[in-house]
Amino acid sequence: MELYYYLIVSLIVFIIGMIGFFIRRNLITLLMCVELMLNAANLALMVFGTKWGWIEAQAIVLLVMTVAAAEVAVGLALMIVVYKHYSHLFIDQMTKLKG
Amino acid sequence: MESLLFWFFAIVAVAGSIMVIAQRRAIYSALSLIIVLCSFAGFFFLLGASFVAAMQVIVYAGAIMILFVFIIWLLGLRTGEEPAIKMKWFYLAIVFCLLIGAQLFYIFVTNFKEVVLERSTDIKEISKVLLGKYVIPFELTSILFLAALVGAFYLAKGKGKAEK
Repeated sequence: MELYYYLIVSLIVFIIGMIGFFIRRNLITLLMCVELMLNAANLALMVFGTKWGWIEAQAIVLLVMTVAAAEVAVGLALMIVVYKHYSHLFIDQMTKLKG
Repeated sequence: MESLLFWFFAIVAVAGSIMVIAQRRAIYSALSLIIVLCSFAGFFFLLGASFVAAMQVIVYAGAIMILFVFIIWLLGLRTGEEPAIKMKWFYLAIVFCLLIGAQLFYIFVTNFKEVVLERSTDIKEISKVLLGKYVIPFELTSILFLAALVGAFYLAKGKGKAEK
């Protein structure tokens, strides 16, 4: 199996996550789309690491995973605050900053 | 066998990620995302990084998605339903994604077409790198985790109760 097939899968998943980030209006789903994009980037990093026989890529992928876990923890805590404030999670109805 | 597994994981990953953005309810999106993450673990395994694949299943599909599911459960399923997708954003998204996708596709296909996979990874090597050369980022990640833990706890606790 050639390596660039993996890259194309990662590209497709990244683009799907990006489309989802544009079209969805629910904050939880937006965070999931960010997770999709992060995973696609992780896969691309692994593919490049495999191509050049670069073992550090796996360590960096592990660090990215832990950072993603921290990001999700803080993001979901923020979501609880938003829900307490607005009683919903739809970003197109959060218009307090609109003049 | 390997190419069969690859195509299986590829189809599952793409279909699952389409399901993530197509479902109206957040809980179905979360369950589809778990499937996508497991198939990504399969990709890592096929690339020869079995330790990263195990970590993908444990950390992502185990820990992070449990967080998502718990938050959806805490806030109620009702919050997951959202109104219909606005088509103007969809067209805008398609345009931007086609631009980026065409660029990346060009780079990937032209520069990586002749590369053939060879796997030579060992968990001993990863731990040597992670605890030797990259020990400072590794420890900084622990501090980041602690900060995220305290921050998430403070945020979720709420202003009123925290002042008491």
